[in-house]
Amino acid sequence: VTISSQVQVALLTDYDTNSAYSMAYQRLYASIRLNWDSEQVHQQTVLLATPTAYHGQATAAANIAIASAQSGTPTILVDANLRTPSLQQRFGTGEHAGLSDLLQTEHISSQHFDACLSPTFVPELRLLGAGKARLSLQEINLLFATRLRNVVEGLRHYLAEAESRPGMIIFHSAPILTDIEATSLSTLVEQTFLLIVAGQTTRAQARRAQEQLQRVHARLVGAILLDT
Amino acid sequence: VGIAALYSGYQYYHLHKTPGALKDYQSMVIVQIGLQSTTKATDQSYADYVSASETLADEYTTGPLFTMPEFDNQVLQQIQTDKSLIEQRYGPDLGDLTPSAIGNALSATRAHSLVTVTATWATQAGAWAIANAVGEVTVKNIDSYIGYVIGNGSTPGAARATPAAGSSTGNLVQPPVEARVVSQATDPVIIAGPLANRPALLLALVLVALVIGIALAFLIEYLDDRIRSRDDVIQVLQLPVYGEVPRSPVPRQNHVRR
Repeated sequence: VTISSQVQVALLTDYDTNSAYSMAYQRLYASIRLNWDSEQVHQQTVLLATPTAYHGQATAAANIAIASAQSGTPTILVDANLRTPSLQQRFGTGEHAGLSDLLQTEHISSQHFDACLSPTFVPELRLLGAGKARLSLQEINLLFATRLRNVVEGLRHYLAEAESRPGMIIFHSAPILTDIEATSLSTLVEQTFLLIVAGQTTRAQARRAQEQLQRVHARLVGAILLDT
Repeated sequence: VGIAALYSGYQYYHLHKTPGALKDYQSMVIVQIGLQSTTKATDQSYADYVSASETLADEYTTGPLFTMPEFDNQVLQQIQTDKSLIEQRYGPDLGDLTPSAIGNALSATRAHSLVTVTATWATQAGAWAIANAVGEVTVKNIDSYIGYVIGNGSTPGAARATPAAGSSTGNLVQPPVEARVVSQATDPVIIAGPLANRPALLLALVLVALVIGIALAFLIEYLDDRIRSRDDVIQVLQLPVYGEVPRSPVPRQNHVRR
């Protein structure tokens, strides 16, 4: 599948591995990896979210996932931004069943995951796209509140069964302050990172996002600064 | 700040190029106004002469003489006559000589019958030329402009044709008005022009613009709530920063993913 060049420029695999851009993501992944005691937690789940909408947010999540996969960690990237999904297009996996379909499934089996997870052009990286099912806002809110835990746990088991090595699941979600999904997700993952966009995110937005995550006792471990 | 600096620079350049704006030259000539001594018997006392001289000097000084076109034209003619002398002394740069400009360049003060006429002009040669010519024209034609009696045909032009017409001759007993140059036109001295304080004002404008610019920059910085650096993040969130990702550069190559 050929995708537009505009989308192509965004991903880490398009850059020289020795470039400053590439190295920055490798270092970032290494720092995140340091927090992870793979003896205790075999499948690490990470949420990356910005306080407000930023067009490069999905790219950042995808690039961290690519850096993770390139370092040899079996990685699943989840597009949990069901309102404006973008990762399927970005990785060129086409219209494919994904998270929205899993959320609608009452009893999820590993066959469901097999059907929904698509391999990508990066070895070790699989994508769980937003899915084919189009959900209304109410449905998204309801399913995130009721079924999301099943999906996250299911993914963990699936990865544990599929891979003997420790694996990583990275969630890309809608912005924290505009939608409730990121906050819901943050309660289900081991590590939440606040993506701060330099020159765009205000102090007030950063504080409000932090407060919102702290209110639900999310494990907000740190921030990642994205230069624009 | 940039606009103010450009504006000031342009204005200063303009001022610099405008002759007489920043500096002028002044030349002074002192003339004495009085009544011609006469051999004819008159009843007047010396005090009357003194009094008449002072009145005439006052007329000369404060009256409309200097702005009269006839007078200014005569001054201009005199300058043309003296041209070679002027060029020899101060060079050819006379400036833009017109009768009305000459009228505006002249001012006078008097002490009793001594009148100091000052010519203020943008060029050295012009200032001296005007002062010198005023002295000469005054000496030649004073009686056609001021007097204390009106004689036959004593009008500006007519009097010129017949100097001191009938005043000292014939049967008229009033002594005619006379003038003599007491002190020749002085060497021109530089004085500040009418716009001499403009450069200081322009400098002040630039400084004020600079201060306002800096203040605005600080204000904008103060009001700008956006996070710009790693330190800002640490300060606001009290959280560790795991990484800083630079802006995405142009990729190495376009490749097609499958």
